[in-house]
Amino acid sequence: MVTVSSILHDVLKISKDELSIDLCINGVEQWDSLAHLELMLYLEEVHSLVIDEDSIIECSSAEGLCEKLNLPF
Amino acid sequence: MKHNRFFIGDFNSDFCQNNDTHSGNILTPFLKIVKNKPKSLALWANDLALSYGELWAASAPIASCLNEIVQYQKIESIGIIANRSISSFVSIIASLAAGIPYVPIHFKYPLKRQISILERAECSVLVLDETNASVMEKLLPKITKSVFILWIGSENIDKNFKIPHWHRLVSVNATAGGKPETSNNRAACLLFTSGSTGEPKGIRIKHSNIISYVNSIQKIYKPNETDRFSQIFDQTFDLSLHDMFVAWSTGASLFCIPDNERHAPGRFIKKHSLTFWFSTPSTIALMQSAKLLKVNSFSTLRFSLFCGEPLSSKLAENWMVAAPKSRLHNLYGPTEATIAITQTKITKKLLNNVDTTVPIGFPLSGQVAGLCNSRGNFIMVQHGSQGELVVAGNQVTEGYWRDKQSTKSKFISGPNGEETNNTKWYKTGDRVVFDREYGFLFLGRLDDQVKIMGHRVEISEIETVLRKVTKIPTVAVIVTPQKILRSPAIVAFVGKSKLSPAELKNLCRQFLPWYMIPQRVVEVNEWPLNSSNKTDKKALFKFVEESIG
Repeated sequence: MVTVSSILHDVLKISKDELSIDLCINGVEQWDSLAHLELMLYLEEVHSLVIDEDSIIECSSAEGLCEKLNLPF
Repeated sequence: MKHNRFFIGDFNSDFCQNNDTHSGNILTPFLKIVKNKPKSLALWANDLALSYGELWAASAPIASCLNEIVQYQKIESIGIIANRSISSFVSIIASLAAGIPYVPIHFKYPLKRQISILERAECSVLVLDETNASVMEKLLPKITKSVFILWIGSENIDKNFKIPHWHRLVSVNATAGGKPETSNNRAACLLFTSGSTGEPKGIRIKHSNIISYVNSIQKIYKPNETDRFSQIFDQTFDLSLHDMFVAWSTGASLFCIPDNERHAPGRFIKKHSLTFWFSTPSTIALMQSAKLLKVNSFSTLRFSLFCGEPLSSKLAENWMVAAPKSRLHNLYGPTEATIAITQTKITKKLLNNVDTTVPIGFPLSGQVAGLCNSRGNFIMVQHGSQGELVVAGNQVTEGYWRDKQSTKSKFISGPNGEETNNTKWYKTGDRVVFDREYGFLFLGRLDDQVKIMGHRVEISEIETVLRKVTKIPTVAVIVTPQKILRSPAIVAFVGKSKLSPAELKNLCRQFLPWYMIPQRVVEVNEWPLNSSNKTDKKALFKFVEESIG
């Protein structure tokens, strides 16, 4: 089952120990602004996310990703 | 622009470091605006707007309190453990008003790095409020020397907050007034950058260094009090001095971009109708990659300035499309020369005539730039000359804090027989070529320093930490170029170690800030050596390209 945790783990290589609902951009070194871009491009391709200013900011935290993608953590 | 045999720039009698004509306190113009236009907007941060009068009203009691402390105890510097919060701006103004240098320390730095900086900077005052209390609670017991803790919070300090008995808590009296110090020889701030020995190194920037820079910038760009400046740089970065003091010396407003929008600041630019933009090229490169540089996206921008990294011509061209009413300038300068020491105006003609990277241009007013060969001797500056860029002028700082050896090796005497003999030139470590029309063009580094999203990183500092935590000598770090991994990525190689890559990264986190932690750690069984019996970094690059890329 696809979850926000699995996306963060697969795309950003954040280890399972580090995954938490409180994670946000720049909270761990794997999720810096460059990695965020990589994440957005992945979401555009796989989850048909429209990339714009709003979505880039809304998807900047694990909680925001759950809401935007309508997926459990 | 004057052109001597050995240097380019406006040589004049006031340019050496020991002869400050740009004397005074960097806050003097700010205080004039406080007096004459107190209701003008000075700062927007964390959804709060503060006028010049309000910003000074919040800072003055702290300055006054510092003035009282210095009556009976020498204060070398004030540690500000925060970043881009209202209280950090207020603390900076208070420190400058009291004539005591501030030391910005990012609250996200590892505890050991925070302590190392505090000790090396000899900070005897630390600022505490509600926003940094959780960090300070962990930090204070680790500081063995007694320091003053200045409580600047809006409420009374939490009764449960424990301050070790050897420190002294001082609550700021909100009704006290501040009396700015006007000494020109005191430092304004002490900034720490990555150091090759494994410890960050300090650079002391004086009020006069910043005043000289601000004066030059005001002459070139002519900002006015209706301007709205972006604030995106961490306060540990000297470019943040530009944001604050170009805006506040002009009577303009400073808009602090929230942390969660710094990687996509377009919405913020539009919402607040910013007119002055200042960032690293990396910031706008991200926007370009996310396809956010659309035609006329940022119609309010009058000026766009870039600094901190090489700016690609293509990126500049795309920004011109997104901000068509904006004049673009590329700035260059190491922290040792205060913010930026050369600049160039970017025109379509320039972009048509240069290769892939925008030149760094000519020195600012009162600053000079020359070239050294590989033996460290000055060479003639003429069209096509290549060498290490060396700079001098009243923006150039006096050397590294408490580090005579590094100062001696990087701050050198001027060319023999020239008028500049009595001042020190800073060897930038940047390899450049001179073009008579466009000035200097950056070619690369002469050492292993790299820029990671604008952060200056000495690869040897990461290697030193790796040796310390693994206790094995065979370690090496490379930073991969963009084509291999998402760029720039730090890859660490270690010889046979008992630690797993995850454990190693965790240990590194105790010493290094987030942007210096290796993204990947590779254990190497057979260490590659070149013909000189040194680590073969070419082989390591090849390995990354073949196995990871």
